[in-house]
Amino acid sequence: MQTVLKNKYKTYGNRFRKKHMKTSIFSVGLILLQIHTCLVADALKDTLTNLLDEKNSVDMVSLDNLSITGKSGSRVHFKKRSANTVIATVKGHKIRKKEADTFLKEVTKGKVNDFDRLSEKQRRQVIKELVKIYELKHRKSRPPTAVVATVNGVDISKKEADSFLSRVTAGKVKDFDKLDKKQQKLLITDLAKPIIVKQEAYKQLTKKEKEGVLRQVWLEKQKSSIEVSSDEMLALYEEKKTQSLAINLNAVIPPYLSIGKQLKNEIIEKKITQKLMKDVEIEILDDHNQSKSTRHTPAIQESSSVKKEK
Amino acid sequence: MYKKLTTIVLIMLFATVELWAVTAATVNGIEISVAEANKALEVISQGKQRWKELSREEKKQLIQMIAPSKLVFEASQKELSQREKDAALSGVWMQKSIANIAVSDERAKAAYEKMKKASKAEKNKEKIPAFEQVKQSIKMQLAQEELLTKLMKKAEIKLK
Repeated sequence: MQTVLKNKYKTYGNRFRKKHMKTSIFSVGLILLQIHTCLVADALKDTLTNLLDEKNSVDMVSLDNLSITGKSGSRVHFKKRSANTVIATVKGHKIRKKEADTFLKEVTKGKVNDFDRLSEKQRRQVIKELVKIYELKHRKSRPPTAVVATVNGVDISKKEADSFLSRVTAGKVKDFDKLDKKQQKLLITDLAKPIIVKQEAYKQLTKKEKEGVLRQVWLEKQKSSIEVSSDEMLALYEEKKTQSLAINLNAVIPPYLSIGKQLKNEIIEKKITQKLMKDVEIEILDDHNQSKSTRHTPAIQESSSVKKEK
Repeated sequence: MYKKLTTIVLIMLFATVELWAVTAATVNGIEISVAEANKALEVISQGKQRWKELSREEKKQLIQMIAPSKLVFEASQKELSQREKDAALSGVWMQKSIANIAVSDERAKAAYEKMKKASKAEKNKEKIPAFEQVKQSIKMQLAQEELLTKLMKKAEIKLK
């Protein structure tokens, strides 16, 4: 009996030990996984931070070798100077350290705000940019009528360039002369596109095509300004219905709603023709070149029409 | 012989030009040539009548039919602003030129994937439509870009 009990406890003990061991392995696994995840997450975070740093440093000033986070890269030893220290002079104008700090803060989105932390090369670059900004700021603007560029021989006035610049920058920059040469060239290239397309259109479209396009545009413009009432549409529908039934008593008349658009267009066209033909002067030249003038009177006069002054 | 032939050809040529230029009528001072009138008559009478065979009343009726088209052109010239004219002509020319540029499905698909990737990178929450839905507009956009690049290469831009 004792042996049986002993064996039973042994079995339970083994089972318990096995179960406990399984739990331990599982726990160790979880801990390892957590550590691994943390490591991977850290690596990912670092990569992303580095990526962000690289992206931010691209703009104007290269921030190579500069440790922003303090995690990696060689630290530059520096001596901090006062904000009013003159770091450069342009045509007698003093550029102070605080200007460079503000500029740095802006381009690095607040990550670097001390000029003295930069390497010699980086400092030179910052000063170069600040000089450029100073020169642009103090450059005298030309009058609005001044020709700032030519596109295929077509003059572009400063007024046009300013207006385009204001449009593309949503009103933030308004003076073409405040841009550097590269920016000016880019802006004029963009401004040139519609000018060049227009030149090609006038050159390549035939006279007939041009006339057709302008006719169409004028007609569309008229159509959008003409109003048609439902009474007018209904009257035309009834007129058409009567006409059809007069020809054929068994004619199939489509429902009013199905031809509404068609009726509206017909009325609009009629109104445009009436407007065009009002007080029009037609002169028929006969074979012997004797002319006789006739004045065309439209069938229905518009009540509100006013004689066009010639 | 050669001289005579040249003279005959020249006389015939002048006669044709003169016939073409003969004015049938004027509408608000705008000339309508006999050729234009005959062209319209050919459609209306199915080639059965000519301008010179018409009575004065018939001629008047025909000119009244032609007049609106002439007047629309006159009105478009007078009433549309230069900017409107330029925009309309540029638009039509652009469409016409783009229609001649072939963009393959593969190129359009590549551009679509690029846009999709860029949208994802920007964490844009807007749903990106399926390729088939936007294929035509992408093709048009690519054709337009190609045309503009070609034009800009030829352009002479000078900064002053």
